[in-house]
Amino acid sequence: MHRALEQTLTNYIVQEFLYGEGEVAADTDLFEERILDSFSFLQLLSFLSERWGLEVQMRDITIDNFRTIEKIAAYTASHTS
Amino acid sequence: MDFERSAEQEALYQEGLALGRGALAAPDITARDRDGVFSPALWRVCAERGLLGAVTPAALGGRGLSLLDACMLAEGLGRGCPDAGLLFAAGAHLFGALPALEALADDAQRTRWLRPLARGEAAAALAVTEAGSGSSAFEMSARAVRDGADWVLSGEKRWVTNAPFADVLLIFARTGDGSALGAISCFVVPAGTPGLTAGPPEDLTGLRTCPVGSLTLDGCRVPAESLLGQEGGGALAFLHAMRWERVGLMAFAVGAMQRQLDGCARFVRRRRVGATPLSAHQAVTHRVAEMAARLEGARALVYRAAWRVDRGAAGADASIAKLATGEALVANALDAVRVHGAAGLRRGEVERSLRDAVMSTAYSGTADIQRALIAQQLGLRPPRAR
Repeated sequence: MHRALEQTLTNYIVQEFLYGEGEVAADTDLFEERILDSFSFLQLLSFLSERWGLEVQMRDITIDNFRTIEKIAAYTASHTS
Repeated sequence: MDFERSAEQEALYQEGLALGRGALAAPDITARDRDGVFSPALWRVCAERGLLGAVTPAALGGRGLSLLDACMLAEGLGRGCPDAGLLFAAGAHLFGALPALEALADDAQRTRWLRPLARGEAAAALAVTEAGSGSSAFEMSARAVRDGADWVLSGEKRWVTNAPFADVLLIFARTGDGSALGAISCFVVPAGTPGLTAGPPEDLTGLRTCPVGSLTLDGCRVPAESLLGQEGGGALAFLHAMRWERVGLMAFAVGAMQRQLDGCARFVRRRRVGATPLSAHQAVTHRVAEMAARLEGARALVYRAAWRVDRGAAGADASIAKLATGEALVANALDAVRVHGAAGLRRGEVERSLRDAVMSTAYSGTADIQRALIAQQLGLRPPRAR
């Protein structure tokens, strides 16, 4: 449904957090697979803000909304115009 | 790009310097450092002058300064005020605890907790570290378990800055299993809550006028509204607060290094060894020159990190500033002792500054933890488990 968004996210995550080496599926658990940790998660939030204007208040962050690329894409799409 | 302070920033720096040399001059610092005594009177001065809410928005009772502007104020204070322990206590409150609270609290929690803390009517402490986890803060074992509408907290926190006198504790505890993200939550708990006990101040090497102690949580029951933010959202707020705290504390350190450089240069200009002025010895003057170079490098890194944090930039800037400034602080303090010779070892500012400086290798994430965070940012991580 948010295929273009998912693809951009996938490219970003592979480049930034896997250094261009490896693959990540849309339903991969990014935390369980240790692709994202607390430090890189903040970097991802910064990217979402710069790229799509997604502003997430820290008090509202529910980690499960960011667990997979498809969830991040769905959340981003529903919270940005 | 402009490397000069604006007129407003210069005014903040001068405000801090005047306050440090005036109402916070702390003429009794040598005795209080020896005895490990915190000054509630000087803490009240910090409150009355608006230091304790410097970076909290004005609408919430603070001054609403950016981190960069607050660093100007802090640097002036660090240069003017000899009580580094007092400034450390204030820094843990305003740069550590309050940004975490602001990031997580809803409107009702902000009104109840943040306003009085920003006005300095109450003191805050951030409780994360434990004996078993040390610098791996997120490997904590303190737990919070739901019981009806309440949460019940159990565990023990160590090395909590301000814990012995804080009115409000921000306590991080596990509410789930697995990685820290989603499993660590933050609770706001008033001192005096049954089941919460603060230990006495630790007897530490430096920053001895700042009370640091343990907290015991023995079935500490708190209402649902004590949870800050979402369940499992504590780890991010802690990282956010640490970025602010590391930069803010290092702004105090930059001021302290300037104070030390001033003192060393003055000493070298005036001191004669036999018939020869100390300033004729290159071995001495070059040492002071090295101190100046370290100071300027640290200052630039702290300003840049503050500027980046203000813009919400991701990255390791705060860790780089903390590591480089902390190392410079220790190196300069040791050089100040060398410049002063035996006189630098007599109880007083030169030797106290060395003891205070050494503390920077441990607080707000050890120097080695900063190295680990910088390496992590560079992509140098352990292989992923498969």
